[in-house]
Amino acid sequence: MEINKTINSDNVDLMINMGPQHPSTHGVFRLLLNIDGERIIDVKPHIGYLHRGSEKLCENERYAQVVTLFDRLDYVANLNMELGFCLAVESLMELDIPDRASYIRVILCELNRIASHLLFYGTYGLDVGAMTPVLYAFREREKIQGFFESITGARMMHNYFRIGGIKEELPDDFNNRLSLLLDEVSQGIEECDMLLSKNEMFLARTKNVGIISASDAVDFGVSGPNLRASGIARDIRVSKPYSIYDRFDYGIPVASSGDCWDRYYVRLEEIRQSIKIIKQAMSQMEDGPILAKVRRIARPPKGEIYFRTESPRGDFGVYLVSDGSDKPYRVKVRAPSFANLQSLQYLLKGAYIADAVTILGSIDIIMGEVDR
Amino acid sequence: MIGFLTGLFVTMKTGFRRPVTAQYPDPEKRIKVENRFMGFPSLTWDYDVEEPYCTGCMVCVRECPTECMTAKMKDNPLFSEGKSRRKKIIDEFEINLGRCILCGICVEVCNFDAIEMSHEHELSKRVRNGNRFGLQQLLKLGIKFQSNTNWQPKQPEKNSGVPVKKVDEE
Amino acid sequence: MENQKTNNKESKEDSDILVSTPEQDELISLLTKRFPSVPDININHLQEDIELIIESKNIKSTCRLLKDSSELNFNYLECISLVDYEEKLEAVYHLTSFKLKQSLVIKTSISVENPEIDSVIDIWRAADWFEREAHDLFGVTFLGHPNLEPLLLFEGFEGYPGRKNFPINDYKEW
Ligand code: SF4
Ligand code: SF4
Repeated sequence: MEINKTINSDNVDLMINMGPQHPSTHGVFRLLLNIDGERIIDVKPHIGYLHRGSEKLCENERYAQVVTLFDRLDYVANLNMELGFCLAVESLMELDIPDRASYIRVILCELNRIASHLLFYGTYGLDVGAMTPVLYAFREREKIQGFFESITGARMMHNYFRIGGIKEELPDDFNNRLSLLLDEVSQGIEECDMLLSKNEMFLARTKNVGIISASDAVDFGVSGPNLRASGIARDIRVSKPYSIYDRFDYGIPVASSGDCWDRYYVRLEEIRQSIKIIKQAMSQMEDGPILAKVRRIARPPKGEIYFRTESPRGDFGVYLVSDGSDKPYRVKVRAPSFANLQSLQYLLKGAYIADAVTILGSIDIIMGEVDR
Repeated sequence: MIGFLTGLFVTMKTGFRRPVTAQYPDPEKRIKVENRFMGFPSLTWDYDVEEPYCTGCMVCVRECPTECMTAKMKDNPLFSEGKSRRKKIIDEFEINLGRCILCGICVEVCNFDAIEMSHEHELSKRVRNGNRFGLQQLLKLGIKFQSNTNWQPKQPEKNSGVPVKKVDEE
Repeated sequence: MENQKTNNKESKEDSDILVSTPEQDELISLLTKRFPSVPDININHLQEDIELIIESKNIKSTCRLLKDSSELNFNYLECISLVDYEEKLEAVYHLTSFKLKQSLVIKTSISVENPEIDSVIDIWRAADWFEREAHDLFGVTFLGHPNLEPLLLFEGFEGYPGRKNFPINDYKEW
């Protein structure tokens, strides 16, 4: 931390530079805090340290290659990102995806949602000063990543979804391993829940801290679990079902007060719902082809589409303009963290400096997606 | 107080479990990689005719999203001697593994079973371009991978280099 | 571009690919009722969302109407995207109404020579960073935006990397 003292005529303001290399900023994110004693008066977030120009790069890659770029947007929920892009291209091409491929996609995406929320759970514990939860969360997350490795060949940058389906058939022991994994993970979640949720110190740090009211949340463009924690039940999987999400029966956890604890607990609850979806998908899945009949080099017709999917962090939109060639004309990514993060500058005003970390952690940002 | 105690109870319970930690640098105590693990790409070796599978067709070079490969083909000397079915063979091949993003697209597009994602994932070097692997190094990676996993080509008839003897058929 | 787009639309209507749902019809009727006064409005439905093509000078009044009218109530700004069509820039606003459970696309073109458009930040605060990003990458000035400092790029960056004429630097092997 770098401290800057500016002396005004009547009061002394401290300007604190938090980040970009700060353990609680979840990546390279810098906050310029103007403080008066313990209170934050003014906030200036600085992003862009991770800006790689993904959108521009997409314009120079063929559609199949763009999937690898999408992997690197939200690097905690890679498969959800791939799904968003693949679905956008597919609906532009009006492709029918084989059922089996859709089921596999849904199973993997929900697993990835669990992994992503587990990461949130662990790091959020760390943010508020609890060392233990991160070990429990990573133990469970590790199992999911190992499972991904056995299917896609990679632990994070999978490049597994293709335009029209998926890359290869599942390994033989998929079903056994998955049901074992689900049992272990659901047990692990209960443990995580017991460990932290009702802890008095945790409650004191997070209850009634960083409240976003429903109307503010909508105004700031907040989405995903953060919006649901404020009491608005909006989930694209339900309100505008994509892929095959309309075939499952699951709930959308909604909280009411919009404080940090609600944002935390909504995510924990979402893990349980995801497990429910995966179980249903497993029982409904049948054998069949895994790739639609597509030419190897995809050429969507001229046109454009804005495709919304629900990533673990919120509304993930892909605005795709095609000019009929084998490369996209323009790709714009509506990154949920980007919109969620801009509410921070309003949220932090008037909060205590110790709560800055709590609030930032509860928004659950991934800088790879914010900066693109 | 109760929430605090339940938390402690969970921690206590874990004390009686077997540890799940793997010791990374210790080769025996690591987590094993899965069969499908995608490490750095490597070129496979055709033991039947003692030459690489790769014909230098450049498909992978064109499809690679990071443009980290170069390839050059030449006429196959073994073909003119009648020992191989491959007319052309790879002459120079280079992958800058420092730039490779391990996406596996090259493996997917190769029609000759010539490139595979090996299980190698530890290639730290002291110089920035120390991971520019040439043909020999890539083949070495591939041979190691082949012997470790008992690799077989996916389309053995089509891609085998063993020349078809027309005389025998007649 | 403009011609092609209208052609596209006609051909789609000819072949009856687009079948609008009853909710969309309702939204269209609401929109046509709401916007008789604003000139140059063009309702077009392409793909899934209904598209509203307006002139860039009307952006603020249109957005204000869309948000404030009680039956439409487009209170959620999803995204502001810019597309560079070389001869013009196009700003695309994606809105959602939680009340109608409908989405709407507003499109307006901005000239390349004088890239200026009114900011919508006092209608939706969500527009803040989206506009700053667009200013960074495309050089569009959003009139009325309180703070158009560079967001993604560093201070003093030359050029607008989002535009088509910005070169992608070829990578050199070490
Ligand atoms: S690895 Fe395969 S695709 Fe690449 S040059 Fe060799 S034969 Fe062609
Ligand atoms: S794995 Fe991907 S990045 Fe690496 S060489 Fe193959 S195609 Fe290129």
